Amino acid sequence: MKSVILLVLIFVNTSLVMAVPERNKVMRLLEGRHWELREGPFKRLGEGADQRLREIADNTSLTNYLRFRALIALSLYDNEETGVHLERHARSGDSSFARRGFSSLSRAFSRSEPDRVRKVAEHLMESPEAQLRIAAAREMRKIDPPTFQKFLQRESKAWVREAARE
Amino acid sequence: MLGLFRSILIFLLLTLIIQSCGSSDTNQNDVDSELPTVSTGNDLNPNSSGNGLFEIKSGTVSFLIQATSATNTKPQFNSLKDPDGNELLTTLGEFAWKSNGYSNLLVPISSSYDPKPGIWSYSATNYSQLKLDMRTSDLSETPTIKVQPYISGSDNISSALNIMKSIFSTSGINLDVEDTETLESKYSQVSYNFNNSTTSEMVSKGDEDKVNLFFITDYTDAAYLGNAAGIPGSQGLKGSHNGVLINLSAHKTGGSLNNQLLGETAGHEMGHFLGLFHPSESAGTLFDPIADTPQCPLSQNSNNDSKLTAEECGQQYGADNLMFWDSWENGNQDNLTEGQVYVLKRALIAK
Repeated sequence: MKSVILLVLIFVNTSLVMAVPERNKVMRLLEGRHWELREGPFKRLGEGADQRLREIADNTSLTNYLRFRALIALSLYDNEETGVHLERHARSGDSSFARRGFSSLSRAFSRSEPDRVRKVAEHLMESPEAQLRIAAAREMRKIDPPTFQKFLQRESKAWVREAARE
Repeated sequence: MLGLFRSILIFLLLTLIIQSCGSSDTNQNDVDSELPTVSTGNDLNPNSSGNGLFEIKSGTVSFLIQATSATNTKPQFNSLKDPDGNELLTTLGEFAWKSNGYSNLLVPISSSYDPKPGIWSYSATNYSQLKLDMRTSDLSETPTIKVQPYISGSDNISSALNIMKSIFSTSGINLDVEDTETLESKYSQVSYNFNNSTTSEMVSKGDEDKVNLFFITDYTDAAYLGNAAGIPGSQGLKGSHNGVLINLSAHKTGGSLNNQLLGETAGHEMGHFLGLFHPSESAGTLFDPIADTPQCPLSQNSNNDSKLTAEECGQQYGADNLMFWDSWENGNQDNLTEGQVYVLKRALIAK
Protein backbone atom coordinates (compact mmCIF):
# COMPACT_ATOMS: atom_id res chain seq x y z
CA MET A 1 0.00 0.00 0.00
CA LYS A 2 2.82 2.35 0.95
CA SER A 3 4.57 1.74 -2.33
CA VAL A 4 1.35 2.52 -4.25
CA ILE A 5 0.97 5.83 -2.37
CA LEU A 6 4.63 6.58 -3.03
CA LEU A 7 4.19 5.89 -6.74
CA VAL A 8 1.10 8.14 -6.87
CA LEU A 9 3.01 10.90 -5.08
CA ILE A 10 5.94 10.59 -7.49
CA PHE A 11 3.52 10.70 -10.44
CA VAL A 12 1.70 13.78 -9.10
CA ASN A 13 4.98 15.50 -8.33
CA THR A 14 6.36 14.72 -11.80
CA SER A 15 3.15 15.98 -13.42
CA LEU A 16 3.46 19.25 -11.53
CA VAL A 17 7.07 19.68 -12.60
CA MET A 18 6.19 18.78 -16.20
CA ALA A 19 3.41 21.38 -16.21
CA VAL A 20 5.87 24.27 -16.12
CA PRO A 21 7.18 24.85 -19.66
CA GLU A 22 10.91 24.96 -20.25
CA ARG A 23 12.44 28.39 -19.82
CA ASN A 24 13.82 28.34 -23.38
CA LYS A 25 10.37 27.75 -24.82
CA VAL A 26 9.08 30.85 -23.06
CA MET A 27 12.16 32.89 -23.95
CA ARG A 28 11.70 32.11 -27.65
CA LEU A 29 8.31 33.77 -27.53
CA LEU A 30 9.93 36.96 -26.26
CA GLU A 31 12.44 37.25 -29.12
CA GLY A 32 12.43 39.60 -32.09
CA ARG A 33 13.54 43.17 -32.69
CA HIS A 34 9.98 44.38 -33.26
CA TRP A 35 8.13 42.18 -30.76
CA GLU A 36 4.42 42.42 -30.10
CA LEU A 37 2.32 40.37 -27.68
CA ARG A 38 0.37 37.52 -29.27
CA GLU A 39 -1.85 35.64 -26.88
CA GLY A 40 -2.09 32.29 -28.70
CA PRO A 41 1.51 31.08 -28.40
CA PHE A 42 1.62 31.87 -24.66
CA LYS A 43 -1.69 30.13 -24.00
CA ARG A 44 -0.45 27.10 -25.93
CA LEU A 45 2.45 26.78 -23.49
CA GLY A 46 -0.10 25.66 -20.94
CA GLU A 47 -0.01 25.90 -17.16
CA GLY A 48 3.08 27.26 -15.53
CA ALA A 49 3.96 29.72 -18.30
CA ASP A 50 3.17 32.60 -15.94
CA GLN A 51 5.64 31.23 -13.41
CA ARG A 52 8.39 31.19 -16.04
CA LEU A 53 7.43 34.73 -17.14
CA ARG A 54 7.65 35.98 -13.55
CA GLU A 55 11.12 34.40 -13.25
CA ILE A 56 12.26 36.05 -16.48
CA ALA A 57 10.85 39.45 -15.45
CA ASP A 58 12.83 39.25 -12.18
CA ASN A 59 16.07 37.97 -13.68
CA THR A 60 18.52 40.88 -13.55
CA SER A 61 21.12 38.98 -15.56
CA LEU A 62 18.88 39.18 -18.64
CA THR A 63 18.80 42.13 -21.01
CA ASN A 64 15.85 44.37 -20.21
CA TYR A 65 13.96 43.86 -23.47
CA LEU A 66 13.29 40.25 -22.46
CA ARG A 67 12.23 41.28 -18.96
CA PHE A 68 9.96 44.03 -20.31
CA ARG A 69 8.27 41.58 -22.65
CA ALA A 70 7.82 39.03 -19.88
CA LEU A 71 6.06 41.71 -17.85
CA ILE A 72 3.82 42.59 -20.79
CA ALA A 73 2.98 38.93 -21.40
CA LEU A 74 1.96 38.56 -17.75
CA SER A 75 -1.11 40.68 -18.58
CA LEU A 76 -2.53 37.42 -19.96
CA TYR A 77 -2.64 35.86 -16.48
CA ASP A 78 -4.98 37.14 -13.78
CA ASN A 79 -4.00 34.82 -10.91
CA GLU A 80 -3.00 36.01 -7.44
CA GLU A 81 0.75 35.31 -7.76
CA THR A 82 0.87 37.34 -10.96
CA GLY A 83 -1.16 40.15 -9.37
CA VAL A 84 1.27 40.43 -6.45
CA HIS A 85 4.23 40.27 -8.84
CA LEU A 86 2.87 43.02 -11.08
CA GLU A 87 2.04 45.23 -8.09
CA ARG A 88 5.64 44.90 -6.90
CA HIS A 89 7.01 45.90 -10.30
CA ALA A 90 4.51 48.75 -10.62
CA ARG A 91 5.91 50.21 -7.40
CA SER A 92 9.55 49.70 -8.44
CA GLY A 93 11.95 52.64 -8.64
CA ASP A 94 12.71 51.94 -12.29
CA SER A 95 10.04 53.71 -14.31
CA SER A 96 10.37 51.35 -17.31
CA PHE A 97 9.50 48.37 -15.12
CA ALA A 98 6.95 50.32 -13.08
CA ARG A 99 5.01 51.45 -16.15
CA ARG A 100 4.93 47.99 -17.68
CA GLY A 101 4.05 46.36 -14.37
CA PHE A 102 1.18 48.80 -13.95
CA SER A 103 0.03 48.47 -17.53
CA SER A 104 -0.17 44.67 -17.24
CA LEU A 105 -1.84 44.90 -13.83
CA SER A 106 -4.51 47.16 -15.38
CA ARG A 107 -5.07 44.86 -18.33
CA ALA A 108 -5.32 41.76 -16.18
CA PHE A 109 -7.28 43.11 -13.18
CA SER A 110 -9.14 46.33 -14.01
CA ARG A 111 -12.41 44.46 -14.56
CA SER A 112 -12.15 41.81 -11.87
CA GLU A 113 -10.41 43.89 -9.17
CA PRO A 114 -10.63 47.61 -9.98
CA ASP A 115 -9.72 48.62 -6.41
CA ARG A 116 -6.47 46.75 -6.68
CA VAL A 117 -5.58 48.77 -9.78
CA ARG A 118 -6.85 52.03 -8.26
CA LYS A 119 -4.53 51.76 -5.23
CA VAL A 120 -1.47 51.43 -7.45
CA ALA A 121 -2.73 54.17 -9.81
CA GLU A 122 -3.15 56.58 -6.88
CA HIS A 123 0.44 55.88 -5.86
CA LEU A 124 1.80 56.37 -9.39
CA MET A 125 -0.13 59.59 -9.96
CA GLU A 126 2.23 61.12 -7.38
CA SER A 127 5.37 59.86 -9.16
CA PRO A 128 8.06 62.34 -10.23
CA GLU A 129 8.18 60.43 -13.55
CA ALA A 130 5.80 62.11 -15.99
CA GLN A 131 5.09 58.97 -18.03
CA LEU A 132 4.09 57.08 -14.90
CA ARG A 133 1.70 59.86 -13.91
CA ILE A 134 0.23 59.81 -17.42
CA ALA A 135 -0.24 56.02 -17.46
CA ALA A 136 -1.82 56.03 -14.01
CA ALA A 137 -4.07 59.00 -14.76
CA ARG A 138 -5.34 57.40 -17.97
CA GLU A 139 -6.34 54.31 -16.04
CA MET A 140 -7.91 56.40 -13.27
CA ARG A 141 -10.02 58.21 -15.86
CA LYS A 142 -11.74 54.88 -16.53
CA ILE A 143 -12.01 53.73 -12.91
CA ASP A 144 -12.75 56.99 -11.09
CA PRO A 145 -13.38 60.12 -13.24
CA PRO A 146 -13.59 62.60 -10.27
CA THR A 147 -10.10 61.56 -9.06
CA PHE A 148 -8.85 61.94 -12.63
CA GLN A 149 -10.25 65.50 -12.73
CA LYS A 150 -8.46 66.33 -9.46
CA PHE A 151 -5.24 65.06 -11.01
CA LEU A 152 -5.70 67.41 -13.97
CA GLN A 153 -6.23 70.34 -11.61
CA ARG A 154 -3.02 69.77 -9.68
CA GLU A 155 -0.74 68.60 -12.53
CA SER A 156 1.57 71.49 -13.37
CA LYS A 157 2.84 70.36 -16.78
CA ALA A 158 0.49 71.13 -19.65
CA TRP A 159 1.87 68.38 -21.92
CA VAL A 160 1.29 65.81 -19.15
CA ARG A 161 -2.33 66.94 -18.74
CA GLU A 162 -2.79 66.78 -22.50
CA ALA A 163 -1.24 63.31 -22.74
CA ALA A 164 -3.37 62.03 -19.85
CA ARG A 165 -6.52 63.12 -21.69
CA GLU A 166 -5.55 61.31 -24.93
CA MET B 1 -49.73 62.70 -92.20
CA LEU B 2 -46.93 60.29 -93.14
CA GLY B 3 -44.84 63.26 -94.35
CA LEU B 4 -45.30 65.06 -91.07
CA PHE B 5 -44.33 61.94 -89.14
CA ARG B 6 -41.22 61.51 -91.35
CA SER B 7 -40.22 65.16 -90.78
CA ILE B 8 -40.59 64.78 -87.02
CA LEU B 9 -38.52 61.59 -87.10
CA ILE B 10 -35.74 63.27 -89.12
CA PHE B 11 -35.79 66.25 -86.76
CA LEU B 12 -35.48 63.97 -83.72
CA LEU B 13 -32.67 62.00 -85.32
CA LEU B 14 -30.77 65.17 -86.23
CA THR B 15 -31.24 66.51 -82.69
CA LEU B 16 -29.89 63.26 -81.29
CA ILE B 17 -26.87 63.30 -83.61
CA ILE B 18 -26.05 66.94 -82.76
CA GLN B 19 -26.40 66.28 -79.04
CA SER B 20 -24.29 63.20 -79.31
CA CYS B 21 -21.54 65.12 -81.16
CA GLY B 22 -21.68 67.93 -78.60
CA SER B 23 -21.52 65.47 -75.77
CA SER B 24 -18.56 63.74 -77.33
CA ASP B 25 -16.73 67.06 -77.71
CA THR B 26 -17.40 67.96 -74.10
CA ASN B 27 -16.09 64.61 -72.88
CA GLN B 28 -13.03 64.96 -75.07
CA ASN B 29 -12.36 68.36 -73.57
CA ASP B 30 -12.70 66.88 -70.05
CA VAL B 31 -10.27 64.11 -70.86
CA ASP B 32 -7.82 66.57 -72.39
CA SER B 33 -7.93 68.82 -69.36
CA GLU B 34 -7.35 65.78 -67.12
CA LEU B 35 -4.28 64.54 -68.98
CA PRO B 36 -1.48 64.58 -66.43
CA THR B 37 1.46 66.82 -67.14
CA VAL B 38 4.98 65.50 -66.82
CA SER B 39 6.59 66.58 -63.56
CA THR B 40 10.27 67.33 -63.73
CA GLY B 41 10.82 68.72 -60.24
CA ASN B 42 10.06 67.47 -56.74
CA ASP B 43 6.36 68.29 -56.69
CA LEU B 44 4.17 65.81 -58.50
CA ASN B 45 1.02 67.04 -60.23
CA PRO B 46 -1.37 64.16 -60.76
CA ASN B 47 -4.77 64.68 -62.35
CA SER B 48 -7.95 64.49 -60.30
CA SER B 49 -7.94 60.70 -60.60
CA GLY B 50 -4.50 60.52 -58.99
CA ASN B 51 -2.70 59.57 -62.22
CA GLY B 52 0.51 61.32 -63.10
CA LEU B 53 3.76 61.31 -65.00
CA PHE B 54 7.31 62.22 -64.07
CA GLU B 55 10.60 62.30 -65.88
CA ILE B 56 13.67 60.40 -64.74
CA LYS B 57 16.76 61.90 -66.32
CA SER B 58 19.77 59.99 -67.52
CA GLY B 59 22.27 59.41 -64.72
CA THR B 60 19.63 59.07 -62.01
CA VAL B 61 20.86 56.63 -59.35
CA SER B 62 17.65 56.23 -57.36
CA PHE B 63 14.31 57.87 -56.73
CA LEU B 64 11.67 57.85 -54.04
CA ILE B 65 8.00 58.80 -54.48
CA GLN B 66 6.49 59.80 -51.16
CA ALA B 67 2.84 60.30 -50.28
CA THR B 68 1.57 61.89 -47.10
CA SER B 69 -1.99 62.09 -45.80
CA ALA B 70 -3.98 62.69 -42.66
CA THR B 71 -2.85 60.29 -39.94
CA ASN B 72 -6.07 58.27 -40.02
CA THR B 73 -5.73 57.29 -43.69
CA LYS B 74 -3.18 55.26 -45.59
CA PRO B 75 -1.95 56.75 -48.88
CA GLN B 76 -1.88 54.09 -51.57
CA PHE B 77 0.13 53.69 -54.77
CA ASN B 78 -1.85 51.62 -57.26
CA SER B 79 0.53 51.68 -60.20
CA LEU B 80 4.11 52.54 -61.13
CA LYS B 81 5.13 51.99 -64.74
CA ASP B 82 8.62 52.47 -66.15
CA PRO B 83 9.23 54.17 -69.52
CA ASP B 84 8.77 50.80 -71.29
CA GLY B 85 5.32 50.37 -69.75
CA ASN B 86 6.36 47.64 -67.30
CA GLU B 87 4.23 47.61 -64.14
CA LEU B 88 6.63 47.52 -61.20
CA LEU B 89 3.98 47.06 -58.53
CA THR B 90 3.35 43.47 -59.60
CA THR B 91 6.67 42.55 -58.00
CA LEU B 92 7.61 45.64 -55.97
CA GLY B 93 4.10 46.03 -54.57
CA GLU B 94 4.49 43.80 -51.52
CA PHE B 95 7.58 45.79 -50.55
CA ALA B 96 5.99 49.21 -51.08
CA TRP B 97 5.84 50.99 -47.75
CA LYS B 98 2.28 51.69 -46.59
CA SER B 99 1.37 53.20 -43.24
CA ASN B 100 -1.14 55.63 -41.81
CA GLY B 101 -0.13 59.11 -42.90
CA TYR B 102 2.83 58.02 -45.02
CA SER B 103 3.58 55.64 -47.91
CA ASN B 104 6.34 55.50 -50.47
CA LEU B 105 7.96 53.67 -53.37
CA LEU B 106 11.74 53.35 -53.68
CA VAL B 107 13.64 52.41 -56.83
CA PRO B 108 15.87 50.44 -56.54
CA ILE B 109 15.06 48.17 -53.59
CA SER B 110 17.33 45.56 -55.17
CA SER B 111 19.50 45.22 -58.26
CA SER B 112 16.44 43.85 -60.10
CA TYR B 113 15.00 47.35 -60.29
CA ASP B 114 16.42 50.16 -62.36
CA PRO B 115 15.58 53.87 -62.40
CA LYS B 116 15.41 53.88 -66.21
CA PRO B 117 15.60 57.32 -67.82
CA GLY B 118 12.38 58.45 -69.48
CA ILE B 119 8.78 59.16 -68.61
CA TRP B 120 7.34 57.12 -65.73
CA SER B 121 3.66 56.96 -64.83
CA TYR B 122 2.00 56.36 -61.49
CA SER B 123 -1.40 56.21 -59.88
CA ALA B 124 -2.10 57.09 -56.25
CA THR B 125 -5.10 57.47 -53.96
CA ASN B 126 -5.81 58.76 -50.43
CA TYR B 127 -2.92 61.22 -50.43
CA SER B 128 -2.77 64.88 -49.51
CA GLN B 129 0.70 65.53 -50.89
CA LEU B 130 2.96 63.73 -53.34
CA LYS B 131 6.67 64.33 -53.67
CA LEU B 132 9.41 62.90 -55.85
CA ASP B 133 13.05 62.89 -54.79
CA MET B 134 15.79 61.79 -57.12
CA ARG B 135 19.48 61.20 -56.64
CA THR B 136 21.55 62.19 -59.62
CA SER B 137 24.97 62.46 -57.98
CA ASP B 138 27.63 60.02 -59.14
CA LEU B 139 27.83 56.61 -57.54
CA SER B 140 30.78 56.33 -55.22
CA GLU B 141 32.57 53.10 -54.37
CA THR B 142 32.75 54.34 -50.78
CA PRO B 143 29.74 56.60 -50.28
CA THR B 144 29.16 58.68 -47.19
CA ILE B 145 25.88 58.89 -45.29
CA LYS B 146 25.34 61.61 -42.72
CA VAL B 147 23.97 60.43 -39.38
CA GLN B 148 22.56 62.66 -36.66
CA PRO B 149 22.13 61.00 -33.26
CA TYR B 150 19.80 62.50 -30.65
CA ILE B 151 19.59 61.25 -27.09
CA SER B 152 17.40 61.63 -24.05
CA GLY B 153 19.16 61.17 -20.73
CA SER B 154 22.86 60.85 -20.01
CA ASP B 155 23.81 57.39 -21.28
CA ASN B 156 27.11 57.17 -23.14
CA ILE B 157 26.41 55.80 -26.61
CA SER B 158 29.79 56.49 -28.21
CA SER B 159 30.86 52.81 -28.14
CA ALA B 160 27.60 51.72 -29.74
CA LEU B 161 27.94 54.39 -32.43
CA ASN B 162 31.47 53.18 -33.19
CA ILE B 163 30.21 49.60 -33.52
CA MET B 164 27.50 50.81 -35.92
CA LYS B 165 30.08 52.78 -37.96
CA SER B 166 32.35 49.78 -38.11
CA ILE B 167 29.59 47.48 -39.42
CA PHE B 168 28.92 49.85 -42.32
CA SER B 169 32.54 50.74 -43.05
CA THR B 170 33.39 47.03 -43.42
CA SER B 171 30.96 47.06 -46.35
CA GLY B 172 32.47 50.22 -47.86
CA ILE B 173 29.95 52.72 -46.50
CA ASN B 174 31.22 55.64 -44.44
CA LEU B 175 28.94 57.01 -41.78
CA ASP B 176 29.60 60.65 -40.99
CA VAL B 177 28.24 60.66 -37.44
CA GLU B 178 27.67 64.18 -36.16
CA ASP B 179 27.83 65.24 -32.50
CA THR B 180 24.97 63.79 -30.46
CA GLU B 181 22.25 66.32 -29.63
CA THR B 182 20.38 66.14 -26.34
CA LEU B 183 16.60 65.94 -26.37
CA GLU B 184 14.22 67.75 -24.04
CA SER B 185 12.89 65.65 -21.17
CA LYS B 186 9.41 65.49 -22.72
CA TYR B 187 10.88 63.27 -25.44
CA SER B 188 12.54 60.81 -23.07
CA GLN B 189 9.67 58.30 -23.36
CA VAL B 190 7.59 58.44 -26.52
CA SER B 191 5.22 56.30 -28.53
CA TYR B 192 6.57 53.92 -31.16
CA ASN B 193 3.91 55.38 -33.46
CA PHE B 194 5.38 58.08 -35.70
CA ASN B 195 1.92 59.65 -36.04
CA ASN B 196 1.72 60.25 -32.28
CA SER B 197 1.89 64.01 -31.73
CA THR B 198 4.93 63.92 -29.39
CA THR B 199 6.87 61.40 -31.48
CA SER B 200 6.05 63.35 -34.62
CA GLU B 201 7.17 66.62 -33.04
CA MET B 202 10.46 65.04 -31.98
CA VAL B 203 11.23 63.27 -35.26
CA SER B 204 10.41 66.41 -37.25
CA LYS B 205 13.51 67.99 -35.72
CA GLY B 206 15.67 65.83 -37.99
CA ASP B 207 17.27 67.17 -41.16
CA GLU B 208 16.09 65.73 -44.46
CA ASP B 209 19.58 64.84 -45.71
CA LYS B 210 20.55 62.70 -42.71
CA VAL B 211 19.59 59.50 -40.99
CA ASN B 212 18.21 60.80 -37.71
CA LEU B 213 18.70 58.33 -34.86
CA PHE B 214 16.58 59.07 -31.77
CA PHE B 215 17.97 57.22 -28.75
CA ILE B 216 15.01 57.48 -26.38
CA THR B 217 14.95 56.35 -22.76
CA ASP B 218 11.99 54.07 -23.46
CA TYR B 219 8.82 53.63 -25.46
CA THR B 220 5.56 54.46 -23.72
CA ASP B 221 3.67 51.72 -25.53
CA ALA B 222 6.01 49.10 -26.99
CA ALA B 223 8.87 46.79 -26.08
CA TYR B 224 10.74 47.03 -29.37
CA LEU B 225 14.50 47.33 -29.47
CA GLY B 226 13.96 49.99 -32.11
CA ASN B 227 11.80 50.89 -35.09
CA ALA B 228 12.12 52.89 -38.28
CA ALA B 229 9.54 55.32 -39.63
CA GLY B 230 9.35 53.35 -42.86
CA ILE B 231 11.18 51.03 -45.22
CA PRO B 232 12.57 53.31 -46.39
CA GLY B 233 11.92 56.32 -44.16
CA SER B 234 11.24 59.74 -45.60
CA GLN B 235 14.68 60.44 -46.98
CA GLY B 236 14.78 63.93 -48.42
CA LEU B 237 11.53 64.91 -46.71
CA LYS B 238 11.55 66.58 -43.30
CA GLY B 239 8.66 65.51 -41.08
CA SER B 240 7.16 62.80 -38.90
CA HIS B 241 8.72 59.90 -40.80
CA ASN B 242 12.27 61.19 -41.03
CA GLY B 243 14.08 59.01 -38.52
CA VAL B 244 14.31 55.91 -36.37
CA LEU B 245 13.71 55.28 -32.67
CA ILE B 246 16.05 53.21 -30.51
CA ASN B 247 15.06 52.15 -27.02
CA LEU B 248 17.98 52.62 -24.58
CA SER B 249 16.47 50.94 -21.53
CA ALA B 250 15.64 47.80 -23.54
CA HIS B 251 19.37 47.41 -24.25
CA LYS B 252 20.47 47.44 -20.61
CA THR B 253 21.46 44.51 -18.46
CA GLY B 254 21.46 45.33 -14.78
CA GLY B 255 21.77 49.04 -15.54
CA SER B 256 24.62 48.78 -18.08
CA LEU B 257 24.17 49.29 -21.80
CA ASN B 258 24.88 46.32 -24.05
CA ASN B 259 26.91 48.31 -26.59
CA GLN B 260 27.19 45.55 -29.19
CA LEU B 261 23.43 45.00 -29.23
CA LEU B 262 22.76 48.75 -29.22
CA GLY B 263 25.17 49.35 -32.12
CA GLU B 264 23.54 46.53 -34.07
CA THR B 265 20.05 47.88 -33.38
CA ALA B 266 21.06 51.36 -34.53
CA GLY B 267 22.55 49.84 -37.68
CA HIS B 268 19.52 47.59 -38.24
CA GLU B 269 17.02 50.45 -37.98
CA MET B 270 19.21 52.62 -40.17
CA GLY B 271 19.17 49.77 -42.72
CA HIS B 272 15.36 49.88 -42.70
CA PHE B 273 15.40 53.67 -43.05
CA LEU B 274 17.63 53.34 -46.12
CA GLY B 275 15.45 50.65 -47.74
CA LEU B 276 16.53 47.22 -46.45
CA PHE B 277 14.03 44.56 -45.33
CA HIS B 278 14.54 41.55 -43.07
CA PRO B 279 16.13 38.85 -45.28
CA SER B 280 13.74 36.31 -43.67
CA GLU B 281 10.71 37.10 -41.58
CA SER B 282 10.11 35.17 -38.36
CA ALA B 283 7.83 32.49 -39.84
CA GLY B 284 10.34 31.50 -42.54
CA THR B 285 7.89 32.08 -45.37
CA LEU B 286 8.54 35.73 -46.33
CA PHE B 287 11.85 36.94 -47.73
CA ASP B 288 13.32 40.24 -48.88
CA PRO B 289 13.62 41.15 -52.61
CA ILE B 290 17.42 40.87 -52.64
CA ALA B 291 18.77 37.78 -54.38
CA ASP B 292 21.91 37.12 -52.36
CA THR B 293 20.61 37.50 -48.81
CA PRO B 294 20.54 34.20 -46.90
CA GLN B 295 17.04 32.83 -46.40
CA CYS B 296 16.17 30.90 -43.27
CA PRO B 297 13.60 28.34 -44.40
CA LEU B 298 10.79 26.76 -42.45
CA SER B 299 12.72 23.49 -42.35
CA GLN B 300 15.08 25.08 -39.78
CA ASN B 301 12.23 25.35 -37.29
CA SER B 302 13.48 22.64 -34.94
CA ASN B 303 10.59 22.73 -32.49
CA ASN B 304 7.75 23.57 -34.90
CA ASP B 305 6.69 26.70 -33.06
CA SER B 306 5.79 29.97 -34.75
CA LYS B 307 9.27 31.47 -34.86
CA LEU B 308 12.62 30.81 -36.49
CA THR B 309 15.05 32.24 -33.97
CA ALA B 310 18.62 33.36 -34.57
CA GLU B 311 19.83 30.19 -32.84
CA GLU B 312 17.84 27.95 -35.20
CA CYS B 313 18.97 29.80 -38.32
CA GLY B 314 22.61 30.27 -37.28
CA GLN B 315 25.24 31.84 -39.48
CA GLN B 316 24.50 29.48 -42.36
CA TYR B 317 20.98 30.88 -42.72
CA GLY B 318 21.69 34.50 -42.04
CA ALA B 319 21.43 35.03 -38.27
CA ASP B 320 24.66 37.04 -38.51
CA ASN B 321 23.13 39.46 -41.02
CA LEU B 322 22.56 42.98 -39.69
CA MET B 323 18.99 42.88 -40.98
CA PHE B 324 18.00 39.52 -39.44
CA TRP B 325 14.58 39.85 -37.78
CA ASP B 326 15.76 38.68 -34.35
CA SER B 327 18.76 39.78 -32.29
CA TRP B 328 21.39 37.10 -31.64
CA GLU B 329 22.67 36.55 -28.14
CA ASN B 330 25.42 34.13 -29.15
CA GLY B 331 26.85 35.96 -32.14
CA ASN B 332 27.36 39.34 -33.74
CA GLN B 333 25.06 40.61 -36.47
CA ASP B 334 27.48 42.61 -38.53
CA ASN B 335 27.17 41.20 -42.04
CA LEU B 336 25.71 42.86 -45.11
CA THR B 337 25.58 41.11 -48.49
CA GLU B 338 26.64 42.69 -51.80
CA GLY B 339 22.98 42.97 -52.74
CA GLN B 340 22.20 44.92 -49.59
CA VAL B 341 25.23 47.15 -50.12
CA TYR B 342 23.96 47.79 -53.68
CA VAL B 343 20.81 49.35 -52.19
CA LEU B 344 22.68 51.27 -49.47
CA LYS B 345 25.13 52.78 -51.96
CA ARG B 346 22.18 54.08 -53.97
CA ALA B 347 20.40 55.56 -50.96
CA LEU B 348 18.85 58.90 -51.76
CA ILE B 349 20.86 60.67 -49.07
CA ALA B 350 24.20 58.91 -49.73
CA LYS B 351 26.92 61.01 -51.35
